[in-house]
Amino acid sequence: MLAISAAISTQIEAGSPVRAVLVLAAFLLVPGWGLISLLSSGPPAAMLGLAIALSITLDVAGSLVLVWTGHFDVLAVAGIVGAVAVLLLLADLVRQSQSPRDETSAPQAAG
Amino acid sequence: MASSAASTASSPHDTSLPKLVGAAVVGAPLVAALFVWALALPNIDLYSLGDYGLTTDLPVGWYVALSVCVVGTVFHACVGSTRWAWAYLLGVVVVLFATLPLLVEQPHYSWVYKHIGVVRFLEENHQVDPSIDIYNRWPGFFALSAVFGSAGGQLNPVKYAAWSELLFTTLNLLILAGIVRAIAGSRRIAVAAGLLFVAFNWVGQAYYSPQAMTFFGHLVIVWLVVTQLNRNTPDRGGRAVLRLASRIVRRPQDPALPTGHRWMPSWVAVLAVLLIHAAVVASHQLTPYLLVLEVGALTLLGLVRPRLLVLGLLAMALAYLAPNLDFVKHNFGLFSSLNPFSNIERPSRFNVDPVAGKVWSERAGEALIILMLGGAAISTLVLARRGRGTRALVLLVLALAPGALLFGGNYGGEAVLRLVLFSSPWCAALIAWALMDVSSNSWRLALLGGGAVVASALFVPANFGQEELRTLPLDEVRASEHLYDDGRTPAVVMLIAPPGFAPRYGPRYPEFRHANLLQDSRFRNRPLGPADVPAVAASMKKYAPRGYLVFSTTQNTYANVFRVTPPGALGSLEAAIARSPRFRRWYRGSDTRIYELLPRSEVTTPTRSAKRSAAPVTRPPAAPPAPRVRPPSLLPAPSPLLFPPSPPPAPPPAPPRLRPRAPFYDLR
Repeated sequence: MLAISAAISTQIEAGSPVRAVLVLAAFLLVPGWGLISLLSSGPPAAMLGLAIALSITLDVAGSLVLVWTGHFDVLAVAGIVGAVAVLLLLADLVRQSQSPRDETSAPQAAG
Repeated sequence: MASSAASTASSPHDTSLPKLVGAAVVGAPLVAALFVWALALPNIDLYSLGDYGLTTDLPVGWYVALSVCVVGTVFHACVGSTRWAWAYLLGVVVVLFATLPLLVEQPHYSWVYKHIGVVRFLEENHQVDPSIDIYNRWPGFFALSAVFGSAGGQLNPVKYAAWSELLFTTLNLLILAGIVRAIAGSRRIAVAAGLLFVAFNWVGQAYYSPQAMTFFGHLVIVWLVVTQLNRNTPDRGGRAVLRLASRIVRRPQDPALPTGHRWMPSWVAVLAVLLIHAAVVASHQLTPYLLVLEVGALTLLGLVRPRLLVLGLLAMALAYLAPNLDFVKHNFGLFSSLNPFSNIERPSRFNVDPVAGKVWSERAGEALIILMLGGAAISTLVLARRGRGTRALVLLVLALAPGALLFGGNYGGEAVLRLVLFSSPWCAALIAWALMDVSSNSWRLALLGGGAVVASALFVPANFGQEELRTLPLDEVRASEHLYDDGRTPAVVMLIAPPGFAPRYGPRYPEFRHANLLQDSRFRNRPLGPADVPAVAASMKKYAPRGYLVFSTTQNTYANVFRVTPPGALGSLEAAIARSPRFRRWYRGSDTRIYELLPRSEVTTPTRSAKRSAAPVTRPPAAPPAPRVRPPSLLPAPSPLLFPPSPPPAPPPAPPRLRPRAPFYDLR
């Protein structure tokens, strides 16, 4: 959702705080969360911190490629990174939905 | 008769209402504090501060809000809910680091603008130029900011840089909590450590800078190392240290290290460490070596594995340094001194005799350092007396490792600031643990409360005590924008007394050289006037045939506060400059005047009436300015930002760009 929101935000007026916040959130969460999804679950705060750090790492790597090569195509790189992250997240969702139910889970409350 | 089932099968409303009421009661002080804080903000005038900076000019409501948040954090950390403790701690962070961004849009600290200049250079030119300066050789942070700005719609970093302290402090607390909780085994100790970390960290290194980003990366690496790569027990080296500790405190130490927080395979943790370290290596010169020191110390004592990890970290840092080594040695030197006592000093550019308010601010910072280091040492002994020495050893090693920095150099006079920065989280953790590790709630409240109140009270003058020098008036930022947009090059930008103005702010900053007039002792500590104009011109001519001499409110304040010049000296000098035919007033605003030093060929002797007539706020240059060819953008055109956009000039052929010598540089 965040990746899609960030992609949509590029259509928002440049300089808008909404766009800046969405893009910042996407920069800080999307790439790293895609990688985190490959791991088993850990403490939520730890996963969040690691996702942010890995996101910044991948962002820095992509940015360095742009400024070292001079091919400053931000949208293309952001699109590639975002697409890979989204695919990883989708794969993780599919994996979770196909995993067997936990037998000790409490029965759902009657509606 | 009501059945037991009916009495027990209560509706959701019956159980949630007391919870809601309880939450409202617990949270009310926090909400009230933030409300009082918000009400206090309009009473703060950042442009009329006295000698004590913000310390004496903050309203009572601001201090009340801070106090409530600190006390609330302490209370809930000791006896209440840790979730509410975190909420109150976030309230502390908001009060401390959201105040300034809400008052003024432009970020404080004049040195942040040179970082913004690098980002704008990359946004404009789309490529680094390693010949310009050290930032173009370690461009990770700046490249990321340029990409973010482009993705965000050509955002000028000046629009968001002021929020960096709030963002990075929050991120740092998130990770520190995980580390402390893993080592000390307590959420309460984790939040207490967070509170003390915020209070001890007065050095202001979380501003918009590579250091802020890499410090966060360093915390994440340490978290991975101590939670995912730690051993169950220390090996021979660590056990020897623990035996020594046992003899000193006469108490055996529990040898076990916590391993219950592992949730990923070791190889994944190693890979993550190396990946994050790569980003750190490409972004900051110093942080990778501090990481090597910390991880290396833990490895030497056998507290973490694999041993080769630290070699990998070192190899990456050295491999990146190798092609940049000549540049670093030529411009800055690799090691300034092996004497830690000289390296810990902060040499001033001038022989300053500051006003009392600045002395007080400096003493508050020194007191915090002593409190932090002394408190950590005592806390380590206390924890060892309780048999917790093994786990405390991890924190102690992390706190001491950055001290090795003092044996290599003074890092441009900032070694002590970096030492405080990199030691503060671990010292805070040790102190919080020792204070909280008592059985009595009353004692816990008293000890942590006392420590937090003292540290917070010292933080305010240490961090905010020089704010009249650090908050730039908007006009100074605007003037800098005009200068770097329209100034003719080659030229020198001569400041009077930094910090002040917004140097190197624009994307054309590499085309200018930069110097400081009062760095020349001939102009200090004496009256100035018309007789000094030739010497000023000669000083500027050493750098370039043309120059821009900048007088500004912040620089005047600096000269007065630190008594670098007698009162009125700069005003007399400026009046003489304004009358001199060698100079032409190039910009005049509410807080800034810029005078252009003309080349000999352009010097004229204007008539008296012409001199008396007011000069325009911005004088169009006689010759077309050096053109900037903006590459076509794939992104939507930017909307007006902080400043009205200037129309692009007709592009004549671009002249060759001057490659200045490495400018006067401040390694922040």
